[in-house]
Amino acid sequence: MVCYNFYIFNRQGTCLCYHEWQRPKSVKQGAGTPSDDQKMMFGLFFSLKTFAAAMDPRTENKAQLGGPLRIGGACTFHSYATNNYKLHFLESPSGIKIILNTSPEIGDLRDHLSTIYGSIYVEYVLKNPVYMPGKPFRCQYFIGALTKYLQDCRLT
Amino acid sequence: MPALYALYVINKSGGLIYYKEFVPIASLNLNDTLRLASIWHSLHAIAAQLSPAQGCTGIDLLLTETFDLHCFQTLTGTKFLLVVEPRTPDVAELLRTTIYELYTDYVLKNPHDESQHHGLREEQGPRAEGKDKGKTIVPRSALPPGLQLTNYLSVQWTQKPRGRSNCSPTSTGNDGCDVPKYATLLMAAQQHDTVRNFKGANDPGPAEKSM
Repeated sequence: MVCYNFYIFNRQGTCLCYHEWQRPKSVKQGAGTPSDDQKMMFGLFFSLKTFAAAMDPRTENKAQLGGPLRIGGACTFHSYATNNYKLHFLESPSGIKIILNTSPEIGDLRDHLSTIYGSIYVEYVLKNPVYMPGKPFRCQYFIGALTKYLQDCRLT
Repeated sequence: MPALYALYVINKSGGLIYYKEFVPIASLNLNDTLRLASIWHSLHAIAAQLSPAQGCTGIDLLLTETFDLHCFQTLTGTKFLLVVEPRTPDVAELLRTTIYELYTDYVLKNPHDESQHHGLREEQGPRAEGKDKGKTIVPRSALPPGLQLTNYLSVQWTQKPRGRSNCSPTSTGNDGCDVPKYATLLMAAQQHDTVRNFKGANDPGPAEKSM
């Protein structure tokens, strides 16, 4: 039960926060540079959202492929699993996207991601008076609270 | 409540070779399914590249609110996608055993099957000779019938589609001709290592040659 890394993006695609606990495969072997890695990650889940909205088997009012997606309106994916990692995704109504990569045996983390957004991100970052929304931030208290929360959860 | 919604079979270059829907999904036409298959092929490869751990082979399972998508990739690069109701049990087993066995028995062992058509050419790498020298030839299995990708910038019809007199390869009009969009996706897919190695790594495209 391992957490690899963690990203927060805003609506425009800026990576507001990136933190890694472990990363056995380095960024150089993957995307090349950290900024390429973040852009690729944003592109990946943006396309996955479009893909999920188009594949949705409900037939009423489906978004057309290539058309704009309303946040919360179209069906969206909440996680995917590969053979050696699992990615968990949450999008808030304001367009803030939280991504967490863990080992594959971990179950559904949607509630945990909501708690991370509501009780950790909002409390430590958004309510901070010197934080400029839309800019990348580094906050030790935020990372500390996040790590502690994940450690508490991993025991359950 | 149906458990299976649709089955897609994608070949190793990202093109859709089989599609079956078990529940009618009214708003998806054939062009959209072709595009979705190519999109999935690329996303599968990107997820493997972005993996934080070594040895990732791509997305096996996509979980959404209204469906689950299971993907089984064979050793030869063919992908089987099954769109099912959320939390359907034993789907990976179904894909790996039943569906793959039926595919190998009825499709691959069929001597008239053309989905793996350019077998010899794939091993040698695509050869460009004569008037096509300097252009990258994409194996025919990657394109819909009647279309030939002559270079990275344009697509050429080898047979005109019936009933569409206004359709030209460079038209950007709305659904009269889906060729530019398909070609763009195919070009995006070709940039990935999985496809580039398949095409023949020694063969430079015209863009690289001019630089």
